[in-house]
Amino acid sequence: MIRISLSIALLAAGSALAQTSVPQQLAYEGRLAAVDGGGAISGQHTIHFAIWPSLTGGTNDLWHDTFPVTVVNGLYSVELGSGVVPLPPTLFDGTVRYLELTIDGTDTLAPRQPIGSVPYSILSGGVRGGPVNATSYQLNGTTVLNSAGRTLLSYTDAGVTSTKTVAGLFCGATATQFSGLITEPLGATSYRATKVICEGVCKSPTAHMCTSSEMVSSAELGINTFSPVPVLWLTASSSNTTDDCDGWTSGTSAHIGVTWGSSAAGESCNTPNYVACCD
Amino acid sequence: MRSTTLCALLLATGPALAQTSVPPQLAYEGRLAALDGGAPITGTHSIKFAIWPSPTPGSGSPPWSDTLSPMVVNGLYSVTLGTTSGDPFPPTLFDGSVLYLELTVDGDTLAPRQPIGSVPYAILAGAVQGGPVNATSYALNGSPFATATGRTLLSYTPDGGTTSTKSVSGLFCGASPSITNGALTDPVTGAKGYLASKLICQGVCKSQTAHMCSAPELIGSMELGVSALQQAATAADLWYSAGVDIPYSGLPTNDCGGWTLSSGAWGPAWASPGVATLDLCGDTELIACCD
Repeated sequence: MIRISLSIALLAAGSALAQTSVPQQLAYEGRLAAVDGGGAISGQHTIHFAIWPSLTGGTNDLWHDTFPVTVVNGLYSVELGSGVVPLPPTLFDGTVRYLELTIDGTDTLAPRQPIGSVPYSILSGGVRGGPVNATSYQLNGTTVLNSAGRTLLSYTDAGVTSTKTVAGLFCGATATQFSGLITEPLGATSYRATKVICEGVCKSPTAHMCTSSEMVSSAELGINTFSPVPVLWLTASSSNTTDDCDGWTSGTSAHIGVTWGSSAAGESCNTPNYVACCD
Repeated sequence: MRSTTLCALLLATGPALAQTSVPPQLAYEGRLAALDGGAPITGTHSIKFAIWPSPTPGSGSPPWSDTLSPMVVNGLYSVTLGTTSGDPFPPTLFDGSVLYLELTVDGDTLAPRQPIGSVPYAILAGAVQGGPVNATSYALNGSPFATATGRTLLSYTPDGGTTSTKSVSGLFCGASPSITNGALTDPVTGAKGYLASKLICQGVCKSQTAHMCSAPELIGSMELGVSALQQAATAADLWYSAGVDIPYSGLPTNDCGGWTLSSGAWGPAWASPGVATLDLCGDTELIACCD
């Protein structure tokens, strides 16, 4: 008996397994009807599903599997990809695929059904082509951009993860002055102390002591970096003539640190200055 | 005759055109039935499909509509929306807001309009609007722009050549296994200078994007408390790249002449417990690698 098939849905369905992406199964519901308009089809049938790259012809399909189905009043449902052959990960790459059904091994239905899009999905396994406008970005579970969209560096040691923005803008200065010997209240010293202090100043876990390029960028954008404090320590280490006050461990005139007034300058490390923080 | 329609599905379908995104067509299957419960509807009927931003009728025209003439068999029909030449869906139509589908069958407008919602999952999406993205890789127009650890990537492909990549700003990932003066040579390829520094660091960190550290990368590593850097700097100073030439004691300080000189210049080096210094290019130090 020749039949026609009306697909009713490619709904998503999946197993209860933990998934790192979306379920790789497609629920397909169809309706079988006799071409001659006869009675509803019921009972056990075998349906072979094949996905092709073209509407007609071709030698090799991209995927196929055969499912036993129970048809009730013409209706049946199967979960494509849940049988012997999983759906290949690259099968749906943005190009139109075509689904071909063969009923009980003999009746191949024509034409093949093009597989296109649905308007919306709550979760997608991938993005191809269009714009991405998201609320957060992660790579394999690790956050790679902060809430302002700035690139993050992160480092995990002894179970503790610290993060900083690579390049940010001026976000504030300390309320008190420091010589070039910088220690934060909980005891961290040197560069680590500058970061802990700036995290508090800017109330952000990604804040850090400004670099000269961050201050230049802030000035370019018209950010007021002078009120209420006039001179700010920056970090700039590039040689032992201005070595960030020996890595912010020296409060003596033997070392020089870089400061920001209206431009970058150098000052002796026994000079009290505020610390410039960026994020 | 008044008709009702039962939406059985929005299935997707599209033409065989090459696509850079997902197919912009929707398959719609419906069921028409007489309100009086009479015989199934069969034959060709004119159905106008209109997508509206509002659930209730108002003024104006819909952002998209099309009139099709499907063959109805025992009440069932299927159409493909968005395939009529010259009448595609506007690219911004599906922007995340709820839209409503209104059908007019042979002049009878069916009510209420049907809201267009979401499916739980899609294997591939054409765009992302709102919500978090947790991906395994990021690319822009096919070119990766983030490393496997999410750091911004620079890549360069010379004409007919192979693509080289580096992370823009990373953290300390290791020091070279042996000391060297300021004239660097990659032991594998024989490359010199800056290219040697990158090749050596690719081997040290087993990463194609690794490179010789810059001062901001070393400071950033110190800020985050990278313990491997503090340990490495106790064994020897670590050459890093600064690129600057600030005259110091009469000799240039330009990365040992771009890591080609073993005398007559200074090179920047990172010393314990965490400070930048300058070493003479005849000194033998380890190489600081970042990624």
